Amino acid sequence: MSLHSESGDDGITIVQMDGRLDLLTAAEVKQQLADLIAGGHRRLIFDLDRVGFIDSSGLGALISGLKAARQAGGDLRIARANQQVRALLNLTMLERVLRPYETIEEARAGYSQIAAD
Amino acid sequence: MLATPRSLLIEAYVATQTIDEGLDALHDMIDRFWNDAARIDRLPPEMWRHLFTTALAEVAANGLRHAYPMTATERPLRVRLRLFPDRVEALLIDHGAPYEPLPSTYNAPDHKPDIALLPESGYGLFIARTALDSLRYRRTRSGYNCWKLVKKK
Repeated sequence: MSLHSESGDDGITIVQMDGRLDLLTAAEVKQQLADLIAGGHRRLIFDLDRVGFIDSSGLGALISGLKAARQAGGDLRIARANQQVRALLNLTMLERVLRPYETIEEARAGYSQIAAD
Repeated sequence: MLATPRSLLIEAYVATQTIDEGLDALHDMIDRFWNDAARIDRLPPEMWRHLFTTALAEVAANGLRHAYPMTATERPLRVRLRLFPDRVEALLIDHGAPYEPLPSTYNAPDHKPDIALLPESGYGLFIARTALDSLRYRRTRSGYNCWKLVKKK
């Protein structure tokens, strides 16, 4: 398992992965997110389109990435989450801090507003 | 496979070497269960099913990870899923070391939580307990860990 990341001219990095984000993959995802942020990619959008399932460990990895990005002055946003991920975020009330954006464009637009502010 | 009309039982015994194989088998089983259930009953809403599946995966992952030593060459896990007219039940049995579930320390965040203070772990039991109507653990006399999960329709 590895994350695929692509950075644009706007300084936003899109991160993608395939499969489940669970206790088997969470530690590696957490580390790779930390490496990206340490490397200066502090405005991240995690595209969950091909992530079929997230468990509590995966949620922890996303929270870890969010905290690291915020500490670096950036943010981590999630986009295209499926219904299972939305159920998980709703149950834990973490949608308050990890708002699931419908599309990459919506998540990107949010960044533009921050940049404009 | 069909016990009585509008009731469904699926049982699986998973004996795998790795947690990865165990979780793959579990997710395959859950998918099959919902597919079979859809043929005999009107399924609960999708969100409801996701919550049950998520709770089941949390408890199973917990068992596969904690009940057996790192060097275990087999991680047996017996899973029984039952659909009733008014509820879905799961029974998970492993042969590993006794496990005493700790109370969940996670509290759902306030309206404007301090992100720096959010925990990065410890969500598992909170998720399982909150998603279900009942989650019970017992150690059987014959030395098995037994979890019973119930979610009412």
